[in-house]
Amino acid sequence: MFSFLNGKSPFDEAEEKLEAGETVNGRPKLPQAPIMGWQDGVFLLVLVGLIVGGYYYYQHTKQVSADTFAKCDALYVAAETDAAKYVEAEACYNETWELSFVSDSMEILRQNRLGAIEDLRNHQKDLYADAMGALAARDSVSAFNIVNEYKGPMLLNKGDAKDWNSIVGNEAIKACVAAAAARADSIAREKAIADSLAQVAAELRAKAVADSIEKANKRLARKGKRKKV
Amino acid sequence: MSESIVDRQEKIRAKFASFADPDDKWKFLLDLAREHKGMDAALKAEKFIIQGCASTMYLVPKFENGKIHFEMDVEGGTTNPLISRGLGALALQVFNDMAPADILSVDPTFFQQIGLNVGLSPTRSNGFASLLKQIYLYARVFDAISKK
Repeated sequence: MFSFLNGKSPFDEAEEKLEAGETVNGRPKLPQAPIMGWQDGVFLLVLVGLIVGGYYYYQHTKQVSADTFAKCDALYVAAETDAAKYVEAEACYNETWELSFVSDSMEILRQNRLGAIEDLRNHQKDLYADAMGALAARDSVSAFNIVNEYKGPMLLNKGDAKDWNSIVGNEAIKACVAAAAARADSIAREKAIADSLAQVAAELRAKAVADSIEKANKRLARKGKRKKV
Repeated sequence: MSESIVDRQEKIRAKFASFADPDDKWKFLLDLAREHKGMDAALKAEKFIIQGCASTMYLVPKFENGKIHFEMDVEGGTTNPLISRGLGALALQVFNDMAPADILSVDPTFFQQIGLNVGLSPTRSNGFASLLKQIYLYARVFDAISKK
């Protein structure tokens, strides 16, 4: 059992210190022993130090976690307007795995946000697969359009990111896309001209029909007058 | 007497119905994940990996005494995929140590009905759907074996 008296009873010391026959009101005089020895004092101080230190360490780790999560939160919120920040936010949340204190609400936030970034990554991976499929099918224009229309963050691994960037950066593909656009443009222009010509022709036809009806009506009117006469 | 699969579903349905705060669902999944015991590393073979999960989820079946016992674990590399592990543990709360016919009797939309999918990221939803698909597949196979 724990004792501050080094296993001694207060009366043990009394017996040592009392002069023979010394009494107080007929009873042996109570000893004037210290409350505890110096070793016990040191032990108690260390114990108190550990408790106080532990408490402050706990508070410190809590504060470090709160600060780190606040930083990650700010990055994640910023990423909603600047997609490139998703990578930083992800890196920040991944650093939080080293923290010694993570509350349940922090854990939920971390899991959900990392999950959301993972979703974005999977979406880009799907697009990447589509673009690669289009390239394999020698449809570089579709591949370019898939990659070019993506406005999200770059979340692919290094190798895939290199392929991805090579599609939008490839001069030959760009030339193909420009040629295809020009072709589409000229087809559209030709179609527009053909449409307007067709419209003019239709209008002329309609006018000719209207004219012929009017002439016919006039002829009929003249004939009618003659008969009456 | 052991609990029926319907009783298990009702328990989980009641649990989900009791969640007042949306975070309660996540806390519940985190608790399930923390309580869930992993599996022996020797069992973690590639053939037991659930395809379609963002994390690496292992599901190992063992057919004994007419019931299927599942071992499940999730690995996430440097991360700790607690939600995925929680989802796996939740599925096992319904299906573990049940007869194949019992497993096949469960409506696959049960988890949607209780609102599990609400707020769940598409990747995790797909992963969970893949896990359920695999459980049903094992149940069908063991059901056929047991009827031979």
